Amino acid sequence: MKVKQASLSLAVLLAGSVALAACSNSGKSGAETGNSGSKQQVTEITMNTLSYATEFPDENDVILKEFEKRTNTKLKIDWVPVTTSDDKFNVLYASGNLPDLTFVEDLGNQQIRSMIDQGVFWDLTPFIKDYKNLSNPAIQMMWDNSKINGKNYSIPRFYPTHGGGVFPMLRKDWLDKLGLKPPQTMDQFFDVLKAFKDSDADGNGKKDTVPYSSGPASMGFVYGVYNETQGDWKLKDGKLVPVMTEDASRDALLWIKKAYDAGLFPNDFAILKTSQLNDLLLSGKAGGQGFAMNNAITRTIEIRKVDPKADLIPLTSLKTANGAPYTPSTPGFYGHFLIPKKVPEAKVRKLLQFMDYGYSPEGNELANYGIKDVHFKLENGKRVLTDQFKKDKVDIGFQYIFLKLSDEQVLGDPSMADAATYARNQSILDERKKINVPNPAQGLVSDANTKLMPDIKKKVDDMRIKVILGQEKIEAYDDFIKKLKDDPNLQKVTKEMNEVYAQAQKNK
Amino acid sequence: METTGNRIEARKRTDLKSKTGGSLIGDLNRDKYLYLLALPGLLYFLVFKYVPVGGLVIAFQEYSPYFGILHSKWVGFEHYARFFSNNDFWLLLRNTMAINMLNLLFFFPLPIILALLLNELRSTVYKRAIQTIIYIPHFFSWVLIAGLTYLMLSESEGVVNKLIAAAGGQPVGFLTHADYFWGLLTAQSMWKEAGWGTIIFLAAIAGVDPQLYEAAVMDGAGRYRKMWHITLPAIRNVIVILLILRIGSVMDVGFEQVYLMMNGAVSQVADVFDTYVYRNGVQQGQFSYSTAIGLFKSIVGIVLVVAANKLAKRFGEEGVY
Repeated sequence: MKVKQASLSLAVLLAGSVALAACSNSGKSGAETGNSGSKQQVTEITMNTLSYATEFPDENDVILKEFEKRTNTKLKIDWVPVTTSDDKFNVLYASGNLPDLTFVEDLGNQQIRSMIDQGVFWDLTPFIKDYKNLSNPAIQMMWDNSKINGKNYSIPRFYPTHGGGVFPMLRKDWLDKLGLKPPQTMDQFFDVLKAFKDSDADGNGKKDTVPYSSGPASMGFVYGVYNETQGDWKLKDGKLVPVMTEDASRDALLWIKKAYDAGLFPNDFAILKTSQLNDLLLSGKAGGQGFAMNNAITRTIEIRKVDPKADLIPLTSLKTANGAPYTPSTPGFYGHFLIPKKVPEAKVRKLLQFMDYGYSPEGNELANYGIKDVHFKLENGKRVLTDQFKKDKVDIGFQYIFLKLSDEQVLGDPSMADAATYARNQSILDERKKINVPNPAQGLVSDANTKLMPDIKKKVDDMRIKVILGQEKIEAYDDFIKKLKDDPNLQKVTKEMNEVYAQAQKNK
Repeated sequence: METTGNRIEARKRTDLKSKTGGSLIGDLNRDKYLYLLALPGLLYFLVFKYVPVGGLVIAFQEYSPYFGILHSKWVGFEHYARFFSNNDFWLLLRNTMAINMLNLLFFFPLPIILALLLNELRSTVYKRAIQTIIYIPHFFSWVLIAGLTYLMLSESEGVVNKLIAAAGGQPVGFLTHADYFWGLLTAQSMWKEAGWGTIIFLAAIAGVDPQLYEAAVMDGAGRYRKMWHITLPAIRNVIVILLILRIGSVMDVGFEQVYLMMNGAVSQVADVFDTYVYRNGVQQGQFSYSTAIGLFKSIVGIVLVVAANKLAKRFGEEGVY
């Protein structure tokens, strides 16, 4: 009797599964996406992303497995190291063999831009509202700012508006020693650095300190401060003008030259690589460097190995004598994920579901801190990382796909600094949040700009370096800028940018 | 009637040919193992050298990865027009030529001189030791050599500048001054490759008939006479062949070397075709434009090789082909 019952239920089950199979076959893309009938069907997702780590999770990575389990997916992720990302991404786009979630650093990338125009990617605008974490009002800004012609073609990779970007941080312990306050104006900044140079700030008996460890590439903020604007374009009488030809940029250049002549930068200013500049700071010989805010904590720990009193303080803002304060901000994201049209609509929804999970509190926690009570413990409401966190290398993977949705993304890990320092940095961040420097060309893309601007910029950069090193006089620079203003290429770019700008204003 | 006769005639002919091994198929059949042996090499050239040539058509397209080669828009010579009308073209040409001419003038003769010197050494042990030492830099990567150059010549850490400062002089910005850049590149190439270059000349010298030297000694020739009248003429054809090949690559400058040594202060004299192609093609994704430039370079290279070869033959040398 029992045997009979069992075989009967087996038969029913079989019949049922046959019916289900038929059902999923009749659905157009049922097999791939798994519709109502086959809930257990795992969605396979291919994706790539930018990584700042030096090693990458493999297929047995604990966090990867956990993500797969929780989102019912099979993930194939290509982690692209930042050092070679430019080449790798461009070759990937050219190959046309795009993963389901394709990472794009900048939607202004010429190839991507024309591919969007050609309809290679899904317009995600109608889908987003269905996902409660993606459409969370707290991150609405990133959707607004990443629109192209009023449409969202990408899931932006969230990055807080304030706290990122290259901006000076200085050795607070040196400031205290010399009885100085963090500078607020460019003149004060110069004086502070000069004081670092003239006094034996590191106390080794020799006046050999490098006040500010920076190369020309990370001096952009000076041009920003003098122009009171972010990016390459400035709004003047309702029109966009290139920042590089502005008189304010000349003043900025002269400030840098004055500082270079006073010996405030490394001797090999023009040729040092970022890693060499970093080493200089970590050796305790430098008074400051430009970084995103979270570096204040991580780099302080490094410098303390040679100088236990070291403490880096990020500056809140800088301004010219009678200008407005400047601090860097972002449009609320860095990088994008795009979905190619070859992915069927049902799978698009699956992909969005996966991304939505990463933007949920649990998913975001998993990406950045790992699994509770395994990789971190809650103590007094604070997360304390365990040894397992390091063992499983939680910090080499998903934190580059789903960035922390809190201020911790830009301030760093609270457990790595003492409470007072962390609170101080938090208040600096809060102050920074009050400052929004205009970036009128944010998100604007013109063909001429992407094609011609890099070469023009390179020429300007080369000229600036020559002036700073004293190989060219400032008069030569003036002639150069005068000629540049008449350059047909630059005029073409300016014209196109203004057209795009006017169009964008209309769409708003 | 006629056709049958012809057929029989033809058959006779093929029979005859296959017997003597005159036909292509007969040849293939007879030497099939030899051809099999050459097959991997032939395939390599076919797959990696000849098939990709087809991709060159994108130099005349506005290539878009989405449409592929078949459906991208044809633009004719637009990329060439853009390139040649660009002010940068003359700058790139000047830098490329200057760097290569300096190489030809100073770097090319060096391995010959070194080989002649090594040939005169009596002690084999000493000779081998010297050879090994001068070969070693060839195996260093350009990254390493650029690093060494920085260590030697930078303003803050450079040994040379420290010596200058110790002698009471002002530090010199060797790496950031346009005047020194070409010399620096030539010196680096010489240091890295001169030793390696001696191998082929030493091999050629080893092939010289010793009887010639013996006869010369009988006639009272000294070392210099032997070098001038026997060794050098004997390796002349090798020198000419290498020179022709060198001229063919006159538009190429070692990308890695220039890219690593380049900085904002010297880019006016450092920017060459290869770095330009890298910036525009790879970094900015303008594949068609950079392919056009690459094709232009190759054509100039071929023309120069053919011309140099003709010239060499006119002077009674063997040439490359």
